[in-house]
Amino acid sequence: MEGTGDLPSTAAPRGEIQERAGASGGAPDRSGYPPAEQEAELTAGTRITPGRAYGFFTDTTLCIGCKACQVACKQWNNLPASDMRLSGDSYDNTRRLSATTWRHVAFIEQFDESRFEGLEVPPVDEAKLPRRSATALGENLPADFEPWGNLTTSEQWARPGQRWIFMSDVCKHCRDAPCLEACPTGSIIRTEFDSVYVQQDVCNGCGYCVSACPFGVVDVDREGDGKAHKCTLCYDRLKDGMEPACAKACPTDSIRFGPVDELVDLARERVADLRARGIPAYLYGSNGVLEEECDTTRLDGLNCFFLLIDRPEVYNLPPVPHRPSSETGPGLLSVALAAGGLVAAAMLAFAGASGE
Amino acid sequence: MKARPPAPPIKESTWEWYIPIYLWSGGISAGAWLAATAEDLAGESDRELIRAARYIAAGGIGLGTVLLIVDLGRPDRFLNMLRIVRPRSTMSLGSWGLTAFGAWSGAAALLQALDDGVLGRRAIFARLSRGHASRLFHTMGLPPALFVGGYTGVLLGTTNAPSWARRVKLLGPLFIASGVSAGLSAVSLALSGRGRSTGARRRLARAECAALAAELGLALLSRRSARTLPSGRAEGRAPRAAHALTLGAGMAVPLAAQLWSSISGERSRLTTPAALLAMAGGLALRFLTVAEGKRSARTPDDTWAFTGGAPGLGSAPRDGRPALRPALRPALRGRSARPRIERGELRGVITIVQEDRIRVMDPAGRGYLLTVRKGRASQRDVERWRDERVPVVLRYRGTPDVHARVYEITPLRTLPPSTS
Repeated sequence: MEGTGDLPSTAAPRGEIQERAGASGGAPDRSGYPPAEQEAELTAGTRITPGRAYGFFTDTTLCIGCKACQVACKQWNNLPASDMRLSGDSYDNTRRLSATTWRHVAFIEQFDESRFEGLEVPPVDEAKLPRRSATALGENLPADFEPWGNLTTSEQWARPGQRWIFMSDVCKHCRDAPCLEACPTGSIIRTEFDSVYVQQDVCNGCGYCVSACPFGVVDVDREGDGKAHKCTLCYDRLKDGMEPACAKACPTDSIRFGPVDELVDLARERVADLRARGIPAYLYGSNGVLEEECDTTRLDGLNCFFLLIDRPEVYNLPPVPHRPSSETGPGLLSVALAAGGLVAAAMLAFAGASGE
Repeated sequence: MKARPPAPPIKESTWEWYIPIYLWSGGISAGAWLAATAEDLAGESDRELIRAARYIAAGGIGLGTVLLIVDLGRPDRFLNMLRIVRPRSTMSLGSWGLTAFGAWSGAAALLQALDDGVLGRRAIFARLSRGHASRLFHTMGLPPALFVGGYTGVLLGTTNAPSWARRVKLLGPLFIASGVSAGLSAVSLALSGRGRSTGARRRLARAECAALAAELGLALLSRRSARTLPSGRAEGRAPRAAHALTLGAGMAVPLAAQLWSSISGERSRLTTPAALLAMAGGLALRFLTVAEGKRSARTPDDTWAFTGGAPGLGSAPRDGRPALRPALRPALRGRSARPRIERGELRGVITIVQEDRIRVMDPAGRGYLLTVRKGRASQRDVERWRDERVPVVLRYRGTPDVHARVYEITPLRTLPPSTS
């Protein structure tokens, strides 16, 4: 494998970083991880330290459906293209995550108002809208600036039936990951960044993780190498102090990379802000924090969580994801009981009928 | 105009037809082993019955193991199943159970072969294979045997396919009951051609009654549970008929026949067809149950019902209208539905090697992404060709950058043997 940072396409920006790293000492620390300044500190504002939990906070209200994350993922991870024609579902071509598509932008068209009859939408109270602080958005912006442009003002955004929402889907890197628990070879492991990773030199393609995943993420590449694949949270990049390719490519910062605890704080503020503007935002995967429409505590939360503004099913997410391994014990107990009954019946049957 | 079915929120099992056959043959092994044990402990240690049961148990496990390995995406790595023990993974537990019972039943078959005189008749073989030694041997093998027969139901249940997951406590008992009924039937069939062993066959028939009754009852409960999900309610006529046929001809009819022959006490001509029907019923049950789980995973409303969601939502096209205007559809459909499988040849230099995937640059500077399957070239060779910029000729099937598998890779320059 080539060194992950040595690809020609990234040479230019890295030159500058290496220079800066060199200025501040630059010697690798004891862990063997790269020098004082990491690229992630410049691009994501966070330092990547093994032993801490990292993940994504995907804010679907900021996504513009550009698919830069999808392309960046394919490029960095050397993934073959999927079917390149439009699927017929909006501007979608891949339709879902697969063994060779580890990021997928869902295009959700909601232009039919009748579908939302009876749905409660909180009214917008202009007086309660927070005055946007000039420092947060830049000095020169007018006070009535709308961060997502004038086409969808916050009022329109809150009215389903007039909107087109996008959601960049990815492996959730569950805290109690069903795929990891199902894996009989130990190929799926938890890394030092608390991500869930499929070791390609161990996987034998049994496919049990595929049935175990509550989100339909991991898949076996039956047409290719016969092994299970999914998002690695760019494990190779994290080891070199770089944020994952999708988060780096995202032009609107809809995908935020960072330590999960910091991301949850960020998400909490964002939800409060959106709710003040009448948008029924909530979190999916934050292990109970502002999770009004869903409950991911069975998986102990997801390291990659989402901000949503409609029911989870609309985004193809199960409201209460199920953890199959919790049923292994009860299931086997029921087998033991049934087997005991059958043995007793067989013994009685064999004892009671002597031969001629 | 029919809207395109929504992309399901979960993925269906990757298992192919090998797996239902394994689920069945593993159950037969368990049932045969139970027959041998019961005959040894409670019956009259009929040698013919025990002989048949030992061979059937080993044969069923052997067949099942081969099928399991064939179903793997990478069959050459099947031994990786024994790298770890993971109590939370039903498949890990099953791999170990299968290994234990495979070894045990294999030893039983070997012992039986020695007793049958493959190495000549010796008293020591007979003593090892019969009497107290045999009773101990069968009793010790019973727990792993029953585990292999029953864990398969839990294996289906501990997934996220709603139809399986909802029945997790039912499928295990159903599969072990069905495995015992099919295993007893298999032993009974093996004895059918002989004039002897009528007592043993009567004992088998009596046990068969209990197993079939349990199987039928559990199968009815399982049916009822499956029908509570949207995919079960919307079931087509063909699967419904297949289920009815399995319950009727594969369970109820053999049960009636076995009951009749045990009550009447006559040597009934019905037992052989009944045994065949019970075995076929068990196989059909496995295929139908696997199909139910796959259909359920493909049905978004099943997942919503199972995970506390509302039906009808989810997944494009959202508003109950087709995502594209009909006029646009034929234009899209005009282009082929899937990339055609082509063959091709490519010359170039390997620029990137990532696991089994390589990127090749042709002389014009265009890059192509292909997959090299194991056995075509060693990873080390491919990496050396990359490092030394050796031009290679690749023959592949498929479309580069989408799905292309290299089946032949030839370097145009030979490198000196590697020193490391």
